[in-house]
Amino acid sequence: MLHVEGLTKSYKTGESVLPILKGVSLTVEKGEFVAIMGPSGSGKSTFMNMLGCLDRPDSGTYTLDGIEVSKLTDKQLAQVRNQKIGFVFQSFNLLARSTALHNVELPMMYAGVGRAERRKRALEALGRVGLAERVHHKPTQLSGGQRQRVAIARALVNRPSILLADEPTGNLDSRSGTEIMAMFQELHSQGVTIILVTHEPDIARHAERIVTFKDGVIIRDERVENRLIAVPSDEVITT
Amino acid sequence: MNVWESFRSALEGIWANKMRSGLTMLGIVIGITSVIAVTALGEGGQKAIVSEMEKFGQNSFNVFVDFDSKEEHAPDDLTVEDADVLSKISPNIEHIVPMNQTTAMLKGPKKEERVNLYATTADFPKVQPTVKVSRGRFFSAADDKELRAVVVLEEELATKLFGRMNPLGQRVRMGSTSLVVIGTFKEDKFRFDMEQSYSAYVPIRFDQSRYEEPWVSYLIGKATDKESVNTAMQQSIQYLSRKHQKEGHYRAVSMQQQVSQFNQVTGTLTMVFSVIAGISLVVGGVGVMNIMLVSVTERTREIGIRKALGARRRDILVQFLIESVIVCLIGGLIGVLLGLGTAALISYFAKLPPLMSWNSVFIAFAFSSAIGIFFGLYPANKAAKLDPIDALRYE
Repeated sequence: MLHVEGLTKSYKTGESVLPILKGVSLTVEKGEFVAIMGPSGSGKSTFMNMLGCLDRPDSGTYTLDGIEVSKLTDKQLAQVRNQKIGFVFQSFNLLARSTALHNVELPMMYAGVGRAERRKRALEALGRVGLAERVHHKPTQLSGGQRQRVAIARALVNRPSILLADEPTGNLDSRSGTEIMAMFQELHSQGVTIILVTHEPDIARHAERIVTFKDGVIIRDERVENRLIAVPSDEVITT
Repeated sequence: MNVWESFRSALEGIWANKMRSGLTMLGIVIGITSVIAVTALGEGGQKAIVSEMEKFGQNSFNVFVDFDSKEEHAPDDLTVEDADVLSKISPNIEHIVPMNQTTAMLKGPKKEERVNLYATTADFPKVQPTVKVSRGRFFSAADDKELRAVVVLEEELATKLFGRMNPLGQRVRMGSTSLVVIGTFKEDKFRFDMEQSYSAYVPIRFDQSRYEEPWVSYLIGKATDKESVNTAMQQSIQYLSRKHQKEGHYRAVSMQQQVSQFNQVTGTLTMVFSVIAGISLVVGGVGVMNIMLVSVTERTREIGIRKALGARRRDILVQFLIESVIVCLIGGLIGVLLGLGTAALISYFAKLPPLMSWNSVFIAFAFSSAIGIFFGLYPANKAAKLDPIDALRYE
């Protein structure tokens, strides 16, 4: 359902051209939980931006849900981001002035969902991430873990095809991090397709499959043998 | 995202930066205030003065010897008889009277006063409705014909000259001549006239008998109706030119012409001042643009978030445009209120009738939203064009 073929991207820095992605091909099936790993500068973030339709490749194809994304206009890309992709960022990226509820409603506003329906779905989504009591809090009144949960609720509220998480635990303490990973695994078990970018092997091992980037190419693509299961407490159990 | 949502989020944005939004608005407020005040005062003053002018009769006109005329001026260029004849021959002229205006010292038992002495005929009150006899009577045609030395005094002048004594039948001295007071009058004066001297009326034939070469300064006519004013003036000039054998020697001007001339002058003045005031509005608009640019930079990350969540360029553009338009409209509203208040205050102290012009209120609103759009467009477009990745990375 997500297929990338021969993706390249380079950036101009002054006179020289810096290649970031040098022909990346990847297929992710519906319902998979994939971790993308690699050192900084390996191209994984750029790849993530491509998958998130925030950036266009120089060449190659990207098909999402049967749509050839690389040929779309800006306006259509915005629609794809809105309908098919849910983002979870390292730094949460919530609107600071708005309440949790309003933050979760935002994608639905751009989707043109009516007011009552919007509110209902936002409350539902916040309930699913365990923040039913905190819907009128602003981000500054929430802990890091709670903020990330608002972001997850926001990412899921338009029922996207994939959830893209870019270092979602990077700004969290280990306990909150585990909480978030437990949530991802829970969502995965419910059938949500998740792509997680991380540089921490321990986080990556929560996924089913790890794709490793180096110097703009995929150097390894493997199933996770000893998958970590996060339980929302201090301990992490290996199966 | 629909407009209502954009509107709400714009209001939230403005509210979140109260101080800054307020200061931004201030520029618009000052601009609109000055434009509204200037136009309201301009239009108000104009209407007040025009209605004052029209008090003297919308059908009235003056005939006089053209000062620019090449022909030599002679004392008998205009005569009392000319007025008499014109009254009779022209069907478009209701009345026309000769007028000679001089100053004189009038001496009563209490005081001596310098007055404007008007010499005219008995029909004068019919031509000039602003002069109303309060006691006694205006002089008659017989008084005029028989050169009787009579005078009609302005009420306040009578009080000055005679104190509380009844002036009717009393005498005042004018040089070596002695005049009998036969009446007093009240005058509905031109309110904006700065001159505060008194006036008195004497029969013109008596007045002329005091000089060797009697002049008539001008004729005051009243046409039968508004439409015949021009015909009446033409007929007067034609008659006078033929009678005195002097082409191009006479000129006539109607109250209507004076009013429209005045309107033209004040209209231009008001416009010039409005434009000057409008400049401050433009400065205010630049202020709006400046702050919107700051706001766009400040909210780069927010824009990135919104774009990542599916906002199209148009959504961002509309959001920022609405924000700047709202700032300008609120500024405009405050400006209109302040402007009308200022105009009301000034007109109160200047004793002008308070007047607001809906026109200028409408224009002010149209103008402030136009400024909001014009000066908001560039920042809003800049926001809309931001690259989502760069915007998300912005610290």
